[in-house]
Formats: sequence, C-alpha cells, structure tokens
Amino acid sequence: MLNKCPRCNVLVDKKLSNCPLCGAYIEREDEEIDSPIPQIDYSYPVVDKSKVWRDIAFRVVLYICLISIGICFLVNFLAAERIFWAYHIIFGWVVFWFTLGRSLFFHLDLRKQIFWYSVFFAIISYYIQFFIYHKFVVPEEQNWALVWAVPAFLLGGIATLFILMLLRFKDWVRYSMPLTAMCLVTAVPALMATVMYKQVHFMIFICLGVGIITLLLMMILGREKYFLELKKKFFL
Amino acid sequence: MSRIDNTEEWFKLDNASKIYPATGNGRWNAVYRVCAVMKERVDREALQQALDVVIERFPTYNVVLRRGFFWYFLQGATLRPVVTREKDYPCRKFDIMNREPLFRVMYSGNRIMAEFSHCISDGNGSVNFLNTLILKYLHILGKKVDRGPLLHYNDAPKEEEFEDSYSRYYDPKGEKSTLENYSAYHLQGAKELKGVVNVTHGEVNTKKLLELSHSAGVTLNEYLLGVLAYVLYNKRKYDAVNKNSKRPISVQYSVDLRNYFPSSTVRMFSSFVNTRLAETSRTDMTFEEILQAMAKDSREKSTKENFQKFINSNFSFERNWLIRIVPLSIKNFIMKIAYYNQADRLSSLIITNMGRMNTPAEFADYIDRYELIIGPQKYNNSTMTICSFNNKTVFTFVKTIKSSYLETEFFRFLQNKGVDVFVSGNNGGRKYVK
Repeated sequence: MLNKCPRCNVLVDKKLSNCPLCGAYIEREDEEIDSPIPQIDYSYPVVDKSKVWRDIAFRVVLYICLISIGICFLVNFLAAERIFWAYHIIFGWVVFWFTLGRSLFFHLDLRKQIFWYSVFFAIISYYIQFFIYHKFVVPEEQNWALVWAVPAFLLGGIATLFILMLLRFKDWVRYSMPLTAMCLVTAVPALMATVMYKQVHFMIFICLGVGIITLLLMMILGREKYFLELKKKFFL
Repeated sequence: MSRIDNTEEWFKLDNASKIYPATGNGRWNAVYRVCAVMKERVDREALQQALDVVIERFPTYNVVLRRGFFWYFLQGATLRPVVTREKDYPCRKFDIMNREPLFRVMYSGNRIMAEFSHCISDGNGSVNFLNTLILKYLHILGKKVDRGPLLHYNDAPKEEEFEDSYSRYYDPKGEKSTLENYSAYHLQGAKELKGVVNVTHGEVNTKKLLELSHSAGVTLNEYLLGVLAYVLYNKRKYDAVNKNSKRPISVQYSVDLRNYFPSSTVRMFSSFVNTRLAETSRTDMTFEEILQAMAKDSREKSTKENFQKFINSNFSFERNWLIRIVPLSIKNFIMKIAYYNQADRLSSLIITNMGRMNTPAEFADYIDRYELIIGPQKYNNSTMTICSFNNKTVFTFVKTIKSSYLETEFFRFLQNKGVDVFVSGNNGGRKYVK
C-alpha cells in the first residue's frame, strides 16, 4: 500500500511519483492501487480579473495622489516661499478618498455610495464657492452653496434612498441606517446658517424638514425593527 | 439556496473574536477547517439533509458579520447553508462585504469538511458541530450509532451555549497579565502566490508517539513543543547572521479554557501560551536540553492564574469607556498594531493541539481519521495542528512559503525515533513531472 521516501524515510502513498515533503523521486510499480486516504489535488487559485484590475487602479490612483501632493507642495514652496495653494490639493484628495475613493475601490454597496456621493458633492460645491470668494463666511445672498447646492444634494440623496427603500420594501431595514445618517446630515447646513446669519433660508428649512419627517416616519412605521437596527449599529 | 428570515437574531462578538475582523487582509483571514476522512464516499444529499437539521441546533454559526459604528457584530444569515463540493484551497476568505455566512460545509471524495471563521467559534466548538453533523449523517444513512458524549441534534439550543464565557469569568479587581516585549525568530522563505496554501499531513501511530513522550518524562504536548523548537533551533543555527537569527524561538499553542473554567459555550473560549526558548547565543544545545527548557516554560505558563490574568487583561480593554466610544474605523487601526505587537511578532510558529477526539465508539467504524487545518497567518508563515482519533494522530502543517524544511525535519525526527510517518499533501498545487 505504501512506499518509503529514500531521503526522508517517511511513508507515502504508492500512487505518488515524488515525496510530498522533499520532492525526491520514488520508484513505484505501474499498477494502480486504491488508497483509503484520498489524495488532495488542488489547482492554482482562480483569480478574479476584475479584482486584479481594481487593485491595480487603486495603486495607480494612490501613487498619483501621493506624488501630486509632493510635487504641489514643492512647486508652491519654491515659487512662493510659503505654502498656500498646495493645501487645496490635499483637501481635494482627502475628500476624494473619504467619498468617491471608498466607493470605487472598497466595495461599498449602493446605499452607502448614494450617501457618500451626496456628501461629496455637497462639500465640493461649498469648496468651489470658497475658491471663488476666498472666504468661508460670505453674505447670505452670495452663499449659493450653503443655501441652494448643499440642500439640493442632500435632498437628492434622501429622495434616492427613500425611493430605493420603497422599491425593495422587503429589505427596507437595510436602507434605514444610510437614510438615518442622511437625515441627520441635513442638520449641518441648518446649524451653519444659524451660526452665520442667525436665520435659516427656506431651502435649508425644507431640507431639514424633509430629514426630520423621514426620520419620524421610519421610527413610527418601522418601530421595533428600526430601533433594533439602531441598537445593533450603535451598541457600546 | 432557500431564504430564511433570521436577521432579528444578533450577537455581539466574543471578547477574543473582536480582533479577527479588524486584522484580516489578503493573506490572513482567521479561517480554519475541521475535516473527517470517512471510510466511504460521502453522500451529498444525506449530508445536506443532516446539515439542515443540525444547523438549527447551532444557531450561532449561521451568521454574517456586520459592521456597527463602534463594534462589529453577528447577525443571522438570510440564506440556508448549502453543502458544496470542495474546489479551492483550504480556508478561503469569507466574503464579508457580500454577507457570506461565516461557516461553510463541503465535501470531496471521502472527506466531510467544515470551515469556520474564528469570529464565531474555536476548535472545540466547531469539532462538536462537525461530530453532531456526522452523527445525523450516519443516522440518515441508516447506520446505528449511539450519541455518546455528543450534543443531541434534536434538542433545542441552550442559553449557556451562546454565552460569552470571557465576560462570565472576568474579575474586574483581579490581576492583569503584563505585555510581552520581544520579537521571535521567524522562518524565512520564498512566498507562495497569494491564495495558494501549502498543506502537508503526517499520520502516526498515537500509542508509539505517547510512548516516546513518556519515555522522555514529559507530556505529548511538551514533547512536540520540544521537537518543533529543536527543528527551528537547527534552522536558526544555519541562517545568515542578521537580526532575525538572533531572536529567541517561541512556539505558541492554543489552550481550551473550558479545561480550566467550566463552560458549555460553543463560541470562542480559548487562550494561548507562548513557550519560549530564551537562549539565543549557544549553538550546541542538545534536543534533551531544549525539550526540558520548553517543557519547563510551558508548565510555568499554563496555569489557571495566568489564564485568569489573560481574561482580565483582554476584557478590561473591552470594558474601558475610552476604547468603547472610539469609532470602529479607528479601533481597527489600533487593533492591527496591537495584534502585530502581541500576537504574530511573539511567536515563531503557532500550533493547535485538539487532543483526542471525543466521539461515540461507533465512529471508528465509519471514520478513518480527522484533520484540522488552520488558515495561513498574517506574519507567521507556518502553522501546525494535531488531532488524534482511533489510534491515529494527524499532524497538519500549513504554510505560505515554498520551503518544506519545517515539516520535513519534524517528520524525519519522528521517523528516526522509530515512529513511522505516513505523509500526504498538496505540494502547493504543484505536480511533479516524472
């Protein structure tokens, strides 16, 4: 039933031509003999090509990010002897990795992608405004980002998630947490407007109102399932 | 696959399990396999029927891993588990993003295999599951097998089987273990391709092995620690002189805490011991000296008091409010560093000794042997497991490097001591050309 490896002296199955330990060739008879111990026969792992391309794309984007940050800092410093515009590049890359980058490279599912894209566009719109006026606080009539763009993107995100939740109603619990996060984020432009202008524009007010109503709807109609999901997500 | 609505059942991770989802990567994923090699080919239909019954008995296994804001948690899976044919390397990573259940049952030829994530169970719990599954499988095939010490698959699960035993035995006022601060010697070698797992089994006669260890005046576990340390010691002697070659040899083995603290849990309840050969400068140590040094260190460290300190330390981290309120993304980063510092860095090799399988006597008529495979580790490129059944002890080496030095020298040592070793393996998927 068994052969002996001439190098290791261990016993190996008669079907094998080489020792599984040291690879030494083993003389064997030609006839096949049934072994009670099945031989493990693995082929090389199947490689998911899309994963390989995604890995490559991730590395390429990461290297571009790091190199561009380095170059911008160097050029900015050499040209102006102080760093001022290079910070914008860092900010851009940080926002990219926290929002688009995560959903592109790290398997975020659709619900979380919708949340992060809404936040990404809201931040970018405010940043573009900052870039135009070079000021964080501008008069309310000039503050199109905070008054119009940010609420529009957040409302769009809430509406998309809500519609998807209705379309896949059996699985609605899976949408409840990203939707809750989206509703809570609507408080941010309201707080900013209150602090900056001591009043809230009607568009921001609508955005906040929609967020609160959506949250209340989930709590009242979802009841135990919603609160159980909250408990699972936030237990300490 | 049929759908079930199990999502309202959820469990927090055990204290020891919390580290695993945080620290996995492409090469390491805390998955292990328990396998029974039957004497006849496996009947897939009967095995599926058995799984459908037995999974109700172990509800903490058919779960998925989900990410909370502060901690990971386990939630009931939405799909009924299905028996599949083995077609990949052992201990493939679970697809957590797509909510794959954290265990799988497979078959291939004569083998029945169950793979588990360490998030849901340890070796003892998973072997219980496998044996209960086999019991039901044999009953479906019409074999008369008494239950013996196994759980009854028709019983309702008991509450104490779900408990986190670490929290039960945690003593907030008790002493805590001190952190160790050294780096162990690591085997070097050319790495296998990502995804390739090199598995080698060595089967020996248990009686002869026990006679060998008793003749040396130590237990079997201590004897094996001594042999492994001796093999690593000889390897280190001939390695190129660098930082790694001056580091102490340390063999880590896992300990079932149920032997020290009574518990019926089928979830994680184990600890580990790092047995160290502190001597790094001598090159003329004999096997007997190494054996006695390792046996002494093992005995000093494997005490109930030390394990109590281990439980107190680990659990106190989890209970600390400053750690609890940190978001999970930041906790993952900290746990990765903590794992490297206090786990893989401190050991040259990890071994798991399941000991003798506790099964009904009739199992010997249907099962040839058991095998246990721990998936490849993050920094340690070699692991070993041991399990015994029906006078057969099976050693399984798993590695992610091409060199077979460790298992070759280990088996040669036993062979030279008069213990015949029957070796089989997958050679990392390579086929030798005649």
